[in-house]
Amino acid sequence: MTEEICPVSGFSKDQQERWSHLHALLTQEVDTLHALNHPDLPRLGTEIQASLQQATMSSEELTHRKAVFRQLKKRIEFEFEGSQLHAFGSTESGTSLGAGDLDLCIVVKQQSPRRLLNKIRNVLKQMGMKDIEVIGRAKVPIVKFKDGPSGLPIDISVNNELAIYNTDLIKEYAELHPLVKETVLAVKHWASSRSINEAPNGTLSSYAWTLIALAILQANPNIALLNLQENAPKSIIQLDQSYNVGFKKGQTFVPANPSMTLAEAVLGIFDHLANDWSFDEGVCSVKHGGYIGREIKRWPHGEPIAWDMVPEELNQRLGDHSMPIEDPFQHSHDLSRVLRPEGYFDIREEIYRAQKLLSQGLSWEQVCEPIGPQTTRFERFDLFADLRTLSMEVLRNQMTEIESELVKVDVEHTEAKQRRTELAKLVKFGLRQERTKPDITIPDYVEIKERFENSVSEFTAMRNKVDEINEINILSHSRIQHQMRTIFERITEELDVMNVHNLNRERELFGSFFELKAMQPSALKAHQTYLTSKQIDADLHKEVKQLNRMNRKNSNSMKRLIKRRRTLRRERGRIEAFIRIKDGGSRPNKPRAKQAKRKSKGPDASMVKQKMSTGESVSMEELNALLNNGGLLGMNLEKEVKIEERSGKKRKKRNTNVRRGTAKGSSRRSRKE
Amino acid sequence: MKDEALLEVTPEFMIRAIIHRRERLAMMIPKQLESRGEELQVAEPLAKDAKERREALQDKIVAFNDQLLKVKSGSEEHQSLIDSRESFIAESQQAENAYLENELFRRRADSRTKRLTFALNDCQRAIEYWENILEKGWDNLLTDAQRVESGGPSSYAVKRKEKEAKS
Repeated sequence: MTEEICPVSGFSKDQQERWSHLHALLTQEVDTLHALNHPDLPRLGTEIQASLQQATMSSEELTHRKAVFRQLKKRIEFEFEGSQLHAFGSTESGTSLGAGDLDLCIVVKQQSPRRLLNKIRNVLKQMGMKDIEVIGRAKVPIVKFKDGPSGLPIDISVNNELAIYNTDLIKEYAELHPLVKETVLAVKHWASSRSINEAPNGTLSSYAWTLIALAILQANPNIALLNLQENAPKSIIQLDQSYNVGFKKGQTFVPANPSMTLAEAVLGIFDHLANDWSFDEGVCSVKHGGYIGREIKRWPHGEPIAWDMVPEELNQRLGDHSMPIEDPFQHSHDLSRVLRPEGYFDIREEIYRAQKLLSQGLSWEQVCEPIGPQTTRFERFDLFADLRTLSMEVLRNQMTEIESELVKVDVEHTEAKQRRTELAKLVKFGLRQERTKPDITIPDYVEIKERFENSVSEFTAMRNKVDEINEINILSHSRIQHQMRTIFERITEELDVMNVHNLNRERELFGSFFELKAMQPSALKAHQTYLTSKQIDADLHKEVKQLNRMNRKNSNSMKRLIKRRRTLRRERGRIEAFIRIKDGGSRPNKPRAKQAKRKSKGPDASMVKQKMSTGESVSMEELNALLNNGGLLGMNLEKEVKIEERSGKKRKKRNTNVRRGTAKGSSRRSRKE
Repeated sequence: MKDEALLEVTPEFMIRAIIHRRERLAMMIPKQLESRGEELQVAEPLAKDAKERREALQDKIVAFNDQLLKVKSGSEEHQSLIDSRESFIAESQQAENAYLENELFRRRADSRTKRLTFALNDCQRAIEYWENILEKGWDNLLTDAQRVESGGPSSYAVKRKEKEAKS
């Protein structure tokens, strides 16, 4: 085994094969690296453009993502008062490949992230989302799930506000010039295809590759990408600590060499990565316009380094700042902290591989030849796929079926609700938490109610009897027996010559003994009555338990009905929408029931008017309601209009003008009248 | 006695049991009284002697104190008087302890004798009383029981009501 380990690189035989380019470079099997040239730059440019067109998100996908986000935002912000749901990440910054997930962040005050995520999970369940998983113990707790119909992967994190600002910055850079966005996308596409953009697997994250691409574009003299954070106005936000998230917006940018092509820019990136990426001395920093020295940043190379861990300890974490990349706002955050030795070597191997293939003039497709399991692309889905082949008549029949089933489900739900209410009443009555007799209408429960009534009245009578006897006797049956035994022993059996009761005490004890004897029968009766009432109570509890079991079953069936109703309504909406689209019509403009409900009614204007006519005082709210309804004059006019309508005159409906007391939009003729 | 048997107890049975107990006590007490009387006979002279000895020693200490006042302080005589007084004080302390011990013993013997005498007298009176009750009837002793039997409150309930009324 030891013979197979390379004395120069320290790689085992398998590792030499796996990281062949890196190994060859180290063992001088290839010449030292040279500036990267490609024999056919125009072809490379076309290939990159083509691959981007294929890999990046289509407008259809983007629209769908936006729709999913809108739906989630509306629901989550409604459920969690004062919360805001933001989208961040590559989708938002416009640097997303089609396979990327949708990153969302809920910003809410005073909530434990884990508890909140659990609540969100329940909401998502109701919304029909799939594969919901709460990862509460991560550094940034998230809930992962997939959109029900499309399977789009979505993450929601809590109070991860800095990510929103990072996204804004990346977006600003991406929008500076098409060359910037395309170069970033090309780098991300290459990293994704070659499986070196997976932070959980010990390589760099997609976000880190974006920052690397931007930093290299900043350092490239032919492009000299602007540094948006340099001399930017400060904008301090307070999260766990203060952060300056200020950057320049709305800048115009032209590459230093305006004739730079995408192929040259991408080639420049790989040339830089292979030949000039000095991560042993510098820190990749977009904030500092490319690079900053490790000493200035005070980020020394931590132990252990990757080379010390070959060939067998590759699964351990690397020392700090192995390939340092500074976060633009959170300056203490090094994005390379996730690296593992294997990931480190994979990245270096891929860089040298890309450099070699590009210099040999191979195609961009070959450079980005996928390895490992590729992230499945979000599948374009057709919400109406199954409906498209159906005729209008079949669709209408389906609608009718759904409507009738909905009615049936509604009826069943109402019945179940009624059962729940009555069962709750019966349980309360059975446990004697409610004294008044319950109002029961369901025939099955009437019998139970009657049985309960009998038992409860019997129980109450017995307990009253016991209380009555106890009030007279005070002492319980067992206590009386104990007292009698003690007295008897004292005055007839004890022979302690030094402790003889005097005669008076003896007389008292004699009288007390026979008083206790007289109390005994009633006490015994009370005791027996108490035991019987206890049995009745136990029987009642047994029945209540059964009722609770019934109630649970009923609740479960209610849940099923609600779920079924939701599915049916969704299906009805889907078919309705399809029919509407097919008919070429638009959505009916009717107010939403919930919104209409939420609107507070406020005081009734006619009541206010009545109040004013009687000379009563009115509040500001009432006055406002009166003015909104046209004031005193407007109200009169409305009344007149109504009278006219009643008298059979045909008139158009008019909106009364509050100020003039005339009708809005009324014709000149009608005004003259 | 078992609980069921207790319910069978009649007033007459109870009175006879009381009388029986009293008679047995009346038989036991004289023997006890005799031995307590012997104890007292020993304790009294002992206490008297200890008291006399203690008082004698206290007198001597007083006399020494008087002498000390007359003798010049710092002289040899003064010192010897102090030494002698100290030894008398120690002796007096021992006498005091002996007195206290003997007096306690005497008092206890005296108290027991008195208590037994009283108990004996009480037993004799009780036997007479209960025999008289047997002859004349015991209804006046069972007023509480009669009230309870007729459905009235027990004396416990009455006491509780009184207590509640007071508070």
